[in-house]
Amino acid sequence: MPLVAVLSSLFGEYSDNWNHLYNFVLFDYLRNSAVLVFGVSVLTLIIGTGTAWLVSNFNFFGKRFFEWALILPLSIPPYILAYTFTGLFDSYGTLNNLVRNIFELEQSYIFFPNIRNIFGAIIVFSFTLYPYIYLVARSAFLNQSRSTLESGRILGLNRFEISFKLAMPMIRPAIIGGLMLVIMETLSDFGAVEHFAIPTFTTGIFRTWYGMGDLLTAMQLSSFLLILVAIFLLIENKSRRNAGFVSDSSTHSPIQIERLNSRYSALAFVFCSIPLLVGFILPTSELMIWAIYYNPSFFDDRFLDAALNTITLAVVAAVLCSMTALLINFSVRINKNKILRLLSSFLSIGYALPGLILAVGIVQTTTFIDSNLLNKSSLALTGSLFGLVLAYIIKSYALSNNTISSGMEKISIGIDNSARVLKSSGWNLLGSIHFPLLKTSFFTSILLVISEVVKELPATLILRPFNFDTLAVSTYIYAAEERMRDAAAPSIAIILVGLIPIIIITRMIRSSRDKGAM
Amino acid sequence: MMPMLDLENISHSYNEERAILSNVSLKIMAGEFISILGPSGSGKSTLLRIISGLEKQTSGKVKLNNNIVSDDNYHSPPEKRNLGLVVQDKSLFPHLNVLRNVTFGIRGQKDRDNIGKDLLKLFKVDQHEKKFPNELSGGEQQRVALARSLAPKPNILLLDEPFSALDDDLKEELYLETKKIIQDKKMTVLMVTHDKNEADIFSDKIIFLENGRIK
Repeated sequence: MPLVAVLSSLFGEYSDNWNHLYNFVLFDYLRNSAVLVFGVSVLTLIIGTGTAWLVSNFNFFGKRFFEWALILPLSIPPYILAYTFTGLFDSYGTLNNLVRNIFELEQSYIFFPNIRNIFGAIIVFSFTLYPYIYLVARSAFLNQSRSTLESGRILGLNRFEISFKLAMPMIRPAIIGGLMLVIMETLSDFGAVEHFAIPTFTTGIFRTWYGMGDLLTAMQLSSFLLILVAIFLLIENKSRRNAGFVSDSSTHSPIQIERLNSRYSALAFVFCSIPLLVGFILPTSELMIWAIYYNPSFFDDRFLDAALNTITLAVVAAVLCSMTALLINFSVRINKNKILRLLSSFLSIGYALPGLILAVGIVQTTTFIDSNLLNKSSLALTGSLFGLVLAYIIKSYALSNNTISSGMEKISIGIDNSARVLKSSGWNLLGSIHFPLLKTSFFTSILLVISEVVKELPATLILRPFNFDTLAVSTYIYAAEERMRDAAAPSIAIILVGLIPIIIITRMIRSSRDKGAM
Repeated sequence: MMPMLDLENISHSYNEERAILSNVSLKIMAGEFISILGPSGSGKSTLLRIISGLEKQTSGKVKLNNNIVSDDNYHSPPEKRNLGLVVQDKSLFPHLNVLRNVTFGIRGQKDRDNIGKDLLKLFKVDQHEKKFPNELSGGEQQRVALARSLAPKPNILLLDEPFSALDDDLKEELYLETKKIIQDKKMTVLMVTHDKNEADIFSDKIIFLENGRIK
């Protein structure tokens, strides 16, 4: 319904505001979005594929550490990195001060250039989003068959030709899939581009709605962004289907890991250190310094209120989302329900929906329900937590669905058959067999959704009830008021929660590697 | 005397090109042990799935105790048929201990634990009642699976190659014990197997199935 509400605006009237946008700023939105997408794509491809290639194919100093540590920047939402970089690289930010102090330079001397521009945004997105490519590229490299690559050697390719003419093209579909996720995240972002004052679709939607008070035009802008995202989603789906040729478990033998000499080992170490340093160590160190030295009232009332609101919302949304995914998957498995299967696939698209568009659609939907179906004189759903929780569920359903459906695939169908013959069906089958067997998947799903909800900014900003702050909203408000140091506490809390899926992913990779080694 | 199981012209196919079962008719009287012998892909397991209700036949009628449980217009789900089923891969519930596995199908009886323990004793696995399936050997798991299938006192016990995953020594031992228990309990049993020796040991009657047809 929220999607239909947004897209239906394309067939409505186009106001003067639309004409203004069309004549003066739409081109800027398109150009900036294109430059951002191009720059981020190039940089994330270099970082993500390069680091994955190194840690998957070679032994070098620190390789075991980098294998998991390179995922860490994923815990930092781009908007937090943008806020932190502002504090670090501003004319009188930490790093410029450090350089001036070390080299005893004049106060007017500025070493690091201004970061609040489109190039700064490209850096911010690239260093937070490259793990999407790193993860898929690494998995694809690990799944490559040694014999296939050895065939290339026998056919006369040298070591580097093997990598660039054989290995890379073979993992291209997987990399394209990861790249599409990066592009969708870049297009959907609101917090970072808004902080750097870069006019893009998302900032345009927000300004049109909140600045001009024109929801219809905001929805029309949203529709164009939605169409763009849908194109990238289609490419991502297609590349995921094509990624199948990378791995062939029946003939799989792991690739041979080569030891690098000390010079190359040092180069590999430096190459892998840069994204970790820029994307994780620098920002978290800066946040910690702010939190410890500048903001002694770390746990003030505002922080505690926001943390409590966030956790309550996140837990409620995560439990509801995981239960929905469990019930749908169970019903699809037992009743072979095609409609529910279709609904599940459709709901899974929600992860690609920019939070801002989702919020626009939900506001439109709840307003419609309030004014037509419920009490017409008051707004029961609009501006309530209902819309917010609904947005979180739609945005996170894919995470729950993937976790629970892959858990369910591991339960032999023979178990179901035995239980059914032993007179267990419906809720009894779910409660006594499936749920206990899916407990780990269910709780993993809850943790993944919690970490997603805690980070979500634009949907929360728009859909939250009046005076209801979450950690993401607090961070945004402090940063908007240039109170970067006050933003440290909620930012650290968000990053800590964001580490949860990274721990889960790392464990999953380790356990699959251990199984592969058996 | 009414047959316990009556199959009338059962046919089944997944597509129009190849029939899995063609006009299979079969009657089993109470207390009878019948084996269906046939090579892989002959449709044996599909026939058991149809009898248990896990799959619906394309055409034909299934009657249990003279009641229609499946025909063109009606299909009773497996949980309503009061059957026992043991398959090759045992399918024990991995999160339940041995006793809970065996008592799983017993509903509304206060002495379900005693029934379970008696069955475990009968199949000589009572010392493992607190263990989980992954802590048992293959033979012990199969004993538990057999005990579990008998616990709800099914009308008919369906066995789908129940011993094929076991080694020869274990098979011989379990053959004798299982046969004795089935005879003592006067169970009606339909077993599918590709092992003629197994069919000979157990059966009152052997039926050959090939390419979905009874020979």
